[in-house]
Amino acid sequence: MENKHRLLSILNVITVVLFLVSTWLVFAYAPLERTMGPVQKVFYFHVSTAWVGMLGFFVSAIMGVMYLLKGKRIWDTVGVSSIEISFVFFLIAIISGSIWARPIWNTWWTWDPRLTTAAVVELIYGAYFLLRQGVDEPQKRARFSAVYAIIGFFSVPLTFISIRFLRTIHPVVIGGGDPSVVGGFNMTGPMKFTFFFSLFTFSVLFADLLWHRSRLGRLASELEDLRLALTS
Amino acid sequence: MVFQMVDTLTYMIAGYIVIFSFILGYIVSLVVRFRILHNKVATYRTLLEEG
Repeated sequence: MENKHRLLSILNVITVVLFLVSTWLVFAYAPLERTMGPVQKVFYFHVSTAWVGMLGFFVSAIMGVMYLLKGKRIWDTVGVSSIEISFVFFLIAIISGSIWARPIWNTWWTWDPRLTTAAVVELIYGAYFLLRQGVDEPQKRARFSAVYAIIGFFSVPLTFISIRFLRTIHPVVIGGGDPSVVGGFNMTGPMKFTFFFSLFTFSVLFADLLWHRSRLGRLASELEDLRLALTS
Repeated sequence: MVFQMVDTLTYMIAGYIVIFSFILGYIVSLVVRFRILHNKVATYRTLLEEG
């Protein structure tokens, strides 16, 4: 237990340092993009937050499979923790993308395939919490949540590939795409470094938050058990 | 092409205010929930011990 706390403290420090370095890279190291100006810098953390969203939804689907196979409560705890973090980060990605779109596309929102599928993903995972609220029995709730997390995850790759296979105005950062899209750009070396460093930082941040949120989940489970013991 | 740098600077600042405030807000919510749950668990344990 003591070792776990020490490891978590080390991870906290690493996360804070990485986050500060990433912020410095974005504002001081990465050059200004010629046509979009400063607003292009939103892209570094916008993509990173979307990445955390997708990563967390993937982790929750894996946790769902693990729960259905093993039936241990910890898989449910990590699964719900993962979805909660990803839900917040995916929302950040949608809002920050909308702020970027206003000066570049001249609109806050358009029903483009990427934006639409991203909104659908967010709604699907929003409904996940409603589902959990609606089931009182812990084991039943965990089983339903596991199945929902696995099925819900199918919407995530759809969002990822939507800008690669459908007609869209959303830029493709990795793997080419239509060069005529509004707001597309080629990354220079420092931009690429800042971008991948931000992705790495947010992955570590996700791991750190997941650890903390899972501890909270374990405490919530303990409280639930104590309540049951008191009432029975 | 003359680009309105001041305008996009405002959007960049707005974007990062959203990003940082959401992340900070989520971390604060974790801390607050942890403290509330911790206190509740302690209370319930005491109640159980007292019978």
